[in-house]
Amino acid sequence: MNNSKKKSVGARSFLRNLAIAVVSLLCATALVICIGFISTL
Amino acid sequence: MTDYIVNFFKGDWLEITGKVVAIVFVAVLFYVCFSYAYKRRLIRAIVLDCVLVAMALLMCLLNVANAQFYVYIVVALIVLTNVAFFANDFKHDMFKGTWKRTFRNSSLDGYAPNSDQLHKTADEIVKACLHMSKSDIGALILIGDNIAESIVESGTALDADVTSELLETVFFPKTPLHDGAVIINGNRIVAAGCYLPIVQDKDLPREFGTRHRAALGVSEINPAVTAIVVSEESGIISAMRDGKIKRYLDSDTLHDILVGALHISDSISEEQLWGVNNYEQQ
Repeated sequence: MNNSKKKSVGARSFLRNLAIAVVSLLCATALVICIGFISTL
Repeated sequence: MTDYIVNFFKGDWLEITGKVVAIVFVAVLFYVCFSYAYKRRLIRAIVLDCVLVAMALLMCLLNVANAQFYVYIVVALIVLTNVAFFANDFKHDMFKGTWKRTFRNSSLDGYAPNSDQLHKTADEIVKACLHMSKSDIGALILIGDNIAESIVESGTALDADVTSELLETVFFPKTPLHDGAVIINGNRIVAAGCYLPIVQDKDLPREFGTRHRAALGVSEINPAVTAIVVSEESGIISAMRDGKIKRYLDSDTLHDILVGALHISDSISEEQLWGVNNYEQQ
């Protein structure tokens, strides 16, 4: 397999991990804010 | 709630650090679960988690009565669904130390076969299955890029191109590897002679032998895996996916199933190929 193909597969894998990380961070922030808020009620 | 969000990152540094640590900790948990979901092609699990979190946020924003109770229920649901879906993956990674492999694409990481290679693979599998069916040679082939490591490790690693000759040789009776499953990922045979969990369903017809039950067991545990079985007794070719069975396959139907299993094309939908009900027999 040539190098450019390897790079594109690596870039796709990186982007996929980045997308999962961003979604995880958003979900985590929302959940922590919710739990923080209900604890003030 | 809006005031709480605005002031969330205000306060002394100790308080902010605590909140950031909490967010990072929860984010890591979500990241692990979402990575498993992506690996198992369970995108619906990611969507479910996001919807549940959105529901919790919405209830807080609208300040509904008993918001506390509902948010705790949502958190419990998130924990329960993720434990139910990914407990086995987590256990395997924990005890076998295979974390790195989970966060890579697949066992073919860095390698992406093109559609010509995948079409050739499908043709070779069809050819091998038809030959074995005519000669009453039993075969069990699993196709998928996310088959549990425990299954792959139970067999003998091969890492060879898929050819009908190789498949027929592996399943030739009295050879050491013939009594297990061959695992195919993309256009490569990853392993042969692999042992699979067997489904203990009493409703299955008696003609379903060990191979069929093993194939069904794997397809139920992992919905993204397609299993092809050639019966040793009758020569009937069957395919299993997500707990569904298609039997008496001819070369065209088998080719269509392989096109879906190898992700070559989405021209035929899953419902068209597999129907809706479990244990559907054609």
